[in-house]
Amino acid sequence: MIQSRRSRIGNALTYAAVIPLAAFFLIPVIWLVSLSVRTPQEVFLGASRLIPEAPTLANFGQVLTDGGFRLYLWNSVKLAFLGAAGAVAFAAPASYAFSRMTFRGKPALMMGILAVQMVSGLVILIPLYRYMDRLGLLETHFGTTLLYISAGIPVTVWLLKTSFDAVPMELEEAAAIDGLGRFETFLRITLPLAAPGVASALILNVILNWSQFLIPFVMLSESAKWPISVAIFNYAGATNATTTQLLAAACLVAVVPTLIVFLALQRLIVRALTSGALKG
Amino acid sequence: MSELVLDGISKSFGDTEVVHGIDLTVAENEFVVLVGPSGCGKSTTLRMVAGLEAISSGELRIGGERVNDRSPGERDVAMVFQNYALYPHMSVAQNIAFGLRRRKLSRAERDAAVLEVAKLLEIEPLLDRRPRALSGGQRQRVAMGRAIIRDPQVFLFDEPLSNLDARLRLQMRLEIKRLHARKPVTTLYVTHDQTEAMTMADRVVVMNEGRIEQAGPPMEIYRNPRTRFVAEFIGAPAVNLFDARLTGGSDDGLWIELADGTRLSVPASRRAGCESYAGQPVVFGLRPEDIVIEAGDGPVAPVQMVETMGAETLAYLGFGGTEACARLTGDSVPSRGDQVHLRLGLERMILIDPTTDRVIGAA
Repeated sequence: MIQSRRSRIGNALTYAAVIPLAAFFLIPVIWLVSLSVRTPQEVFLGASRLIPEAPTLANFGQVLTDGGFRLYLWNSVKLAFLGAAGAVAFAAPASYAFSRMTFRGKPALMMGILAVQMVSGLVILIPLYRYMDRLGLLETHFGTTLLYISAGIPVTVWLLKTSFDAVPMELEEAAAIDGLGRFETFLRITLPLAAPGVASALILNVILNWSQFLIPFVMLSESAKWPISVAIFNYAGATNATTTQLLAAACLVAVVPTLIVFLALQRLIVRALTSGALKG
Repeated sequence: MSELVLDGISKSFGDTEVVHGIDLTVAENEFVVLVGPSGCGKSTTLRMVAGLEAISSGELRIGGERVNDRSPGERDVAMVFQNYALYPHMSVAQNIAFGLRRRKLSRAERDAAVLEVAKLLEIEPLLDRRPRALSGGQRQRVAMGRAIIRDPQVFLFDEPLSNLDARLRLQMRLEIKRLHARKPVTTLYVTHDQTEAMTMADRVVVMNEGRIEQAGPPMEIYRNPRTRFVAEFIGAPAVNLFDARLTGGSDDGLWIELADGTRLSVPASRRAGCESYAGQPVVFGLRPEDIVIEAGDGPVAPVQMVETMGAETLAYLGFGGTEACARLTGDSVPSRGDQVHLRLGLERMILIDPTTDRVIGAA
């Protein structure tokens, strides 16, 4: 009895803490949804028309048929996927080495990679801009992709190391006895067996890259090269009351793919992020 | 199919040497079992032969050729792992065929080879399955199939049966032996189970603390152990050891005096080797089957515990200042508390010098 009462109080406290937190994140989204289905006239009514009298999907139609907007979406897709694929491709050999080889300074190097992750993007933005300028990579998707890749590598190395760790050593030994070299073993045994981990690392990178703002904002000033995040920001700067509803629709269109991917693959992603945290 | 020679093979991890100069020759088609307690270096030795561990010093020869610096794949050895190590993302057929990739065989030839091995191991119906869908015994067969199909020069087993339940272990033990009889290959087999070693080996190699304690045919190891370690390690239930003292002169015969005052006469056949120990403490060993309950003028002992096992009975007796185990065959089973007369097979006793732990009179 005492146990259950205590757990009931615990539940109450949990909800008391979580509901405001959820509201904090949900209210802007609700507001966005509300704006995106209004007619221009109703936009002027502000919060008093949270549920509009004449909801419309026309805003979405306009946004999705707009050539510029489609281009931004395509840019986002391109940058997010190339960046993710690149991060996984470059991180995989490093993760394999961290997982399978013993060498001096391994723990320090692993921590070093994690430390890189902790550096705020804002801090390195100016030097980064100058490097890319010197390399002549400003205003290119190539340069932007390279930055996405390097931003994704640290987390990806750690994620992949955990999934390589989970592949039993004996399988690689068996492959060695069967006559495979190290690289062939990696390609034919370790990588396929770590595929779920590789997939979730890829998806996680895509999601992170999709919401990437600072890098493309600094790298790309030409509007035709913008991903959706930068484009919306620039539109918002130039907005007036007559386009608010369109902007809201655009924001939703930009956010929804990540939401869908995350909800669909939530379990996979959480497992990848937490695997190896506990033994067994 | 060729001779395997370990010539002074050692292994060090950092400054610690864990395997100290192993000398061992496995003759062509011989089945040699490395046995010892965990941590004795048997698995490390096997892994050095396989090429999974670098050899710190010494020379390894397969078929007369030095292979120290060859990769595992180039040594032409096959290995069966304790946890099977099947590739989970491949079917049984693919697992078995995997070792053939290096040979340039046509698809038809490869399929025929897989089928032949599958028939040999009676796993034909399983060829399309994934390892996950197999039982432990079936997985073990597939692992063996993968090794057999390569037709290697040397076959290595690393505790292949220890993940199986008792009944299956017995069955697979027999099957590996049968397979070896039908298709002889030079084999090095590692186990910690002395029963496996005794039953399977042409020659048993007992290892302890990174050294070979003794090597020889199973019965020789069992009957004529060279050290206390081998005497105790081989045989289940274990040999009975008693603290004792050799007494008596040459005219009055030679006596073994146990801690409880029991005096046993050393049979004439065994006197020669141990006369020089007269007056000194020794450890006196008797295998459980050499203690027989029989009416007569033998020493009397109380029965403290009885374990009936069907075909035989283990009786634990208060004897020689300690508890001794007797393995009794036949139907007369003593009960706890009985006082019984013993007949001891002293011709087969094992006498150990307690200062060196070496068996007295052993080579």
